[in-house]
Amino acid sequence: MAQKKQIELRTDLMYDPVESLWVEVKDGIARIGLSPLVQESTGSFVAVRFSEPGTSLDKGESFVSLEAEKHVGHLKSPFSGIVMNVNEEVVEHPRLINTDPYGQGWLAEIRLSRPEELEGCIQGEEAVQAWFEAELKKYNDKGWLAQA
Amino acid sequence: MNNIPFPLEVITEDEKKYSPDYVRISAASAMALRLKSGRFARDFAFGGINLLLNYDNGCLSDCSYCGLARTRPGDYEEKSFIRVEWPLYSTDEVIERIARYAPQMTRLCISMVTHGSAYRDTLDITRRITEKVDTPLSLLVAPPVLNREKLQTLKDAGADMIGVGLDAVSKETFFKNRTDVPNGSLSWDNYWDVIYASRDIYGPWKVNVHTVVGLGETDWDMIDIFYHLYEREIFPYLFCFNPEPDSRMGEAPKPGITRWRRIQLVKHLIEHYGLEREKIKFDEQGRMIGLEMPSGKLKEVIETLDSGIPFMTDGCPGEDGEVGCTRPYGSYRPTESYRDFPFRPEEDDLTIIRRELKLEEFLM
Repeated sequence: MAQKKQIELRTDLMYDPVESLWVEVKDGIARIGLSPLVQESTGSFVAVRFSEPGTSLDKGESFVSLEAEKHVGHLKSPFSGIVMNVNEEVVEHPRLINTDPYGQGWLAEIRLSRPEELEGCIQGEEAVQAWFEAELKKYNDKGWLAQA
Repeated sequence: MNNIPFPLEVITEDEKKYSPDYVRISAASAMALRLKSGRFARDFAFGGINLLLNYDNGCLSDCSYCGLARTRPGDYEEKSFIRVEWPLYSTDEVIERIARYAPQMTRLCISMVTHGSAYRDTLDITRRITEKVDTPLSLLVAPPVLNREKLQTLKDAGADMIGVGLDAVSKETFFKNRTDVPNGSLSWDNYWDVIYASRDIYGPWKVNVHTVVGLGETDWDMIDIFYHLYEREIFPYLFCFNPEPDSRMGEAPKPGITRWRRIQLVKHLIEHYGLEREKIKFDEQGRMIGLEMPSGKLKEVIETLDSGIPFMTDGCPGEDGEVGCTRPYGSYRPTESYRDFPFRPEEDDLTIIRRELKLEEFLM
């Protein structure tokens, strides 16, 4: 049976508008992952390479390299901090980023050294929804999204 | 949690369908037709759409290097081919998309597999396509299921070019990789019969033969087949072996980059500048060791190198005569050096290519 695919957007999380990362902060540690729109538009991931845990990052510094079928790129950290954990599961099974971007497909945990940098993230249901709709249009105009 | 409607039809596992009503298309084709989301590492126009027949029992051949080989582990529908997924869609939906995006389309190609229904279904799909769109259509044929009459019928239905995936360019490597295999052996002579019959029926420069570097052939074998084909007004198209995981050659190395670049360059010089055979020097093992180049001719090498064209994908042309089938990331991963460029290489690319070629050691 044919089915309509949907993108699930969690509006309770913060989003980094530069790399389209979701951000969830607990006790000064930010867990980050790829927004479902980016995973959808990048294609199936085939390889992931992280910075080593313990690495100190400045805002804007690359913390992971992602390779998809037809695409490769680095993601820049939305804030300064120290890489505490990386998700070894996605190193073994990169497609988890596609199939469960908010869950098992999370990327890394970074201890924030300048929490004020979180102000650059988008948060609040309305703001997140509006940002996402704009991103959706942008990605669609670029031809990166499937069309009915 | 909000659900944003996302209008993508997908075929679920319980709805497996087969050709001619369903076809697989390359991931890049699915992206170009907006059937699948995705993007390329670098932006370029892409309109070469590859269709692949789909059957429950798959391809009946068992070539050592191929992702579709019969004895490669896994169900046919889950197998990758040239290392990427080939999603399955309704044939009519694909054709409707091709018509919708017709201005961006440069070349269409139906790839047969070795299967009893392949000829009948290729003819059916060819007719469906040519009824709806004018984009030139090639057929990458399976020689075991063809003869002259069938080749003529496919031409009459609207196919304008025939490709034959010979792949292994010497009789010895063909036997080793495609004949002397666990299941479904293929015949060197049958392949050449179909190449020559296609040349008779489709005419000069309307037939191409796929030649893969890295299946155990020597450079001499490769250069020899280029001359053999050019003399008969048949195009050799160059492919780089790219190991398919779990295939019998899944652990075999890719050809070295310098070897690959030199073969690309020499092929281009033969095709466009009439490079004479005796100017290409080989050692006793058939390895290409140098190119005898009088100083007057050196300019041609530099010009051809600087154009970047020799290093672009070899493929069937679009209506404008430029390569219309560019198979992005078909023989390399996005993290690797482009083995063949689906666009004109830029200056930074050329710098890398020059380094890879080691031209100063090659020109004599």
